[in-house]
Amino acid sequence: MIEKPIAFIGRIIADFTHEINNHLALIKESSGLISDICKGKKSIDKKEIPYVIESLEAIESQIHKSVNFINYFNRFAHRMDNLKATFNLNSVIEELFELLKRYSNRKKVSLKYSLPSNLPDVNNSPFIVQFALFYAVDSFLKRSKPDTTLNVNATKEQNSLKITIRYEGDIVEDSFQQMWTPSSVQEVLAITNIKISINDKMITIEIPV
Amino acid sequence: MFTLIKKFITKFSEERYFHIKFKLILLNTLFSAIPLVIVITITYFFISQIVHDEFKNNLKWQMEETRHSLEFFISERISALTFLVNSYPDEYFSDEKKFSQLFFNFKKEFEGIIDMGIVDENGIQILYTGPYKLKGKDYSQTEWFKGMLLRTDYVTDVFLGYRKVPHFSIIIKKQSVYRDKFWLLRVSVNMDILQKFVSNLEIGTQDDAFLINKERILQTNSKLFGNVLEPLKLNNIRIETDKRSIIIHDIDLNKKQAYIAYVPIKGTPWILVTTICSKPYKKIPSFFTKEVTLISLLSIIITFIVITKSINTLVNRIEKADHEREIAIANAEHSDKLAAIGRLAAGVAHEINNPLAIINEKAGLMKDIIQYGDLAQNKDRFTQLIDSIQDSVTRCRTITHRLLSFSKKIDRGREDFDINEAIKEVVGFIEKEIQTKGINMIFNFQENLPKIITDKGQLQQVLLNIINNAVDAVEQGGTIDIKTVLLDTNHMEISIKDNGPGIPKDKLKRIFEPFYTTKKKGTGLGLYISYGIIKKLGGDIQVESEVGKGTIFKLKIPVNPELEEIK
Amino acid sequence: MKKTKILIIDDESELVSALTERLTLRGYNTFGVTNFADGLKFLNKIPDVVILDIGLPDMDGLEVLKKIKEINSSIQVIMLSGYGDDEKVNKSLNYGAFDYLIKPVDIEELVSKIETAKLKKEEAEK
Repeated sequence: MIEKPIAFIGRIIADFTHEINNHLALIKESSGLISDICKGKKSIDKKEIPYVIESLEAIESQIHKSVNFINYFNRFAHRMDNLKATFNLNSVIEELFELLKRYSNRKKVSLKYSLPSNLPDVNNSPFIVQFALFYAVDSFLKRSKPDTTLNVNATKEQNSLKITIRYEGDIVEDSFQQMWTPSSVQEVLAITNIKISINDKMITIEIPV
Repeated sequence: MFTLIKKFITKFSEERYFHIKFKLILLNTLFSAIPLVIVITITYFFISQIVHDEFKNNLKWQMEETRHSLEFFISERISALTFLVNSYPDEYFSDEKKFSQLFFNFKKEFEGIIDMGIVDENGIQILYTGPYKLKGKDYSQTEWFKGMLLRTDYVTDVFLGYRKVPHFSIIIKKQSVYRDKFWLLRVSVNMDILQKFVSNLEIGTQDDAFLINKERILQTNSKLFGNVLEPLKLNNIRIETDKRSIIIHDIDLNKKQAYIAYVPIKGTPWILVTTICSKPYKKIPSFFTKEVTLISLLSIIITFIVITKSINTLVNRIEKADHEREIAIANAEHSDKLAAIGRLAAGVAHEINNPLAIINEKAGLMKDIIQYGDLAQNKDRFTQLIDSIQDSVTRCRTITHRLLSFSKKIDRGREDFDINEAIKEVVGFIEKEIQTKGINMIFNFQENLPKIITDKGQLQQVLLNIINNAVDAVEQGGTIDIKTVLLDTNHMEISIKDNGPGIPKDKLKRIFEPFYTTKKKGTGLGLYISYGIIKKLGGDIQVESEVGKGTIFKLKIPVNPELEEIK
Repeated sequence: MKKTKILIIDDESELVSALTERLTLRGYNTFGVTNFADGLKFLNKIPDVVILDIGLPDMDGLEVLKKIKEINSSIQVIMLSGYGDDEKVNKSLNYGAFDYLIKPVDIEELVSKIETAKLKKEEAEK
C-alpha cells in the first residue's frame, strides 16, 4: 500500500538534484569566467580583478545556497529512518516546502506558509505526513494557473493538528492526471489515523496528537 | 442449484480459509458425531437383541399354550371316550338308538365331535351315528385299524376318508371279555377344530401357523404353504420331528429373513409349525429409533451449528491476524525500502558536501590570494585552483546524476542491467561511510557476465542491506570483498565477504528471522525482507560465518527468471 | 608574539591544502596532513590549535581527539563535521573538543574560533 506514495519521494529527489545542478552550473560559469580572465596572459590585469572577485563571491554564494538546500534535503531524507517518530510539524513543513519551492516556482504559484511557533510535537509517521502534505500541494499545483497563491496554515484543535492548504485563484478546468485517487490517499493516511478532506479549493489534513 | 455447487467448488479450491474452515468443520463434526453414532448403534442392536429375544420368548410361550390346548383337547376326549367305553354297558355300543343317544349327549358336552362309530375286530363299522352314511364301511386296511390291534387309543392324521371331508379320528379300544375279541369306538373330529386352535396364535398377517404330520402333509390349511392334505410347500427346512421342545430356526423365506418354530403335539401325530416373516419385534424399537434418531439428529445439528460458528469465528480471527501481519510486514517492507531510500538520499547529501566544501575553500583562497598575496605572481596558481574547482563541480555532478537516475527508478519492475555496475552503484551510494571507516573494498567481478533481468531496485535494496551490514560489522580499516561469478547458464552468484567478527553458529541460523537483530537500533527486518525479496526474484541467500574470521553472504539469482519458471 | 601554530587533519587533501594556504595568508603557522599518522610529528611540536575532521578513515575522529589530548591536554581541538555527525560532535565536546564547525566553513568564523582557542590554551598553560 505504501508502494505507491513512495513515488512522491522520487519527485522531491528529482527537484533537489535539478536545483543543485543549477547551482553547480552557475559555479561552473563563474569559474569559467575567471579561467577566461586568467588565460593566455602572463598576469592578471588589475582592471579585471573586480570581475574575478565578483565571480568568486558568486561561487561562494552558490555554495551557500546549495549547502542550505542540502541541509533541508538531508533532514527530509532522515525522516524516513523510522516508521513512527516524534517530530515537530513546523520543521517538517518547512523542509518539505523548501524542497517544493522549485516546483511551485515553475508553476508561478507562490507557496506561503505561516505556522504558529508553538505547535505541539506529533507522534506519527513522518513519511505519511509528508506524503499528505505533498499530495495536497501537488493536487493544486497540477491545476493551478500562474500568479496564484497557495496558503498553508495550521491550528491546534482539541485532539489534533489541523493543516489547511488553501488555493487562491482560478483553477484549470480540464482533468489532470492524478497520481493517486483521493480514496487511495485516504486509505494510506488512515494507517496512522490521519484524516484528509478534499474540496475544490481547500484541503484539510488532520493529524491526531 | 448447479451454480451454488459450482460456487462452492470454486470457493473450496481457491479460497484458502474457506478450505480450512470446511475441513475443520467436517473433521470436528465427524468426530463428535461418530461416538454418538457408535453408541446409538450399539444400543440399538442391544435393544434389538433384547426385543428380539423377547419376541421369541413370546412366540415360544404362545406355541406352548396352543400345544397344551391341543394336547388337552385330545387327551380330554380320549379320557372321556375311554371312560365312556369302560363305564357304559355294552348295549349302548350295540343298540343303535342308545348309541345315538349316547353320541348326542356326548356331542353336547364335547365340542367338535362329528360322528361316532363302532368298528368290530374285522374293521367293519357295525354301528354308526352321524351325518354321513358310513355304516358297514370297511376300515380294516387303514393304518389306524392296524395300529389299534396293538394299542388302546389312537389319533389319526387328518384325512378325507369316505366322507371326503378333511377330518381326523380318535379311536378307543374296548377289549372284550374274550381275549381276542374287541371293538373300537371311533369318533371323528373335523379339521376345523384344529384350524381354530392354530388360528389362536397371535401372529402377523404375513405369518403362518399350521399343523403338519411327520410326512410333512398339512393337517390344517396353511396361508402360504398349501392347503390341508397337501404336502408342505416349504423346502430346505429341516423339521426334526423327534424333539420335544420348541425349536426356533432362522430361515430364508422368499429372500426375506424369517423364523420357523415348531413343536410336536404329544399324543398326536402332529407338529405345530409357525413361520414368522413379519417382524413385529421391529415395531417395538421403532419408537426407539424414531425418538433416538430425532434426538441424535438434533444434537448433531446443534453440534454442527456450534462447531461451524466457532470454527468460523476462529478461522476468521486467524485470517484477520494473518492479514494484519501481512500488512504490517508489507508496511515494514516498505518502511525498509523507505529507510533504504532515506539512507541513500542522506548518503548523497553527505557525499556532496565535501566537494562543495572544497570549492568553497578554493574560491575563498583565491580571494585571499587577491587580498593578501601578489596576484601577479600567482597567476598559474589561480589557473590551478580554478581547474580544481571545476573538477569538484564535475564530481558533484556525478553524484547528483546518480541520485537523479535513482529517483527515476523508485518504481520500476523488471529491467535488464549489468550486475557489476549495479553493485558498484550501490557501493557508490554509501561511499562516504565506507571512506569514513577506511574500509578496503575489493571487487572480484567476473568479466562479460550476461545482463540480468530482474527488478533492479529490489535487488539493489537487498545488496544495500547486506553491504551495509558488512560495513557495520567490520572494524576500522576492515575489508569487504564482493565477488560475482556465473554459476551456470542461468544463474549467477554474488558473494559479499567481510572480515568482521563473524556470527556465532547459534545466532547464524536465526539471522533471517523477522524481528531478530543484534544491533541496538533497526527493525530486525532487513535480512528477513531481503530473503523474501530474493526468493521472490527466484533466487536464494546463504550465509557462512566463522567467529573471528568473518562472514560471507552468497546470493544466487537467476539471470532470466522466466527460463527458471519454464523448468 | 609567536605565530599561532595550527595543524589541520582532514582526509580531503584538496581541502587541507586550500585551508592551509588560506590560514597561512592570514598569518598563521599552519601545517596540514591527511591522516593521523602523518600528523604525529607535528603534534609532537605541540601546536596551539588542531583543526580535526570528525570523519577520518584510518582512525575514528574521536580516537584521534583522545590521542591528541593525551599528547598534551592544552592543545585545543576544533572539530570539523559534515551532516548527520551530530552525535559524534556532542561526544567530541564531551571528550574535550573546544568547539566545532560544519563544513563548508566560513573562514571568518574559523579564524574567530582559532583566536578564542588560542586564548584558552594560554590560560591552560599557566
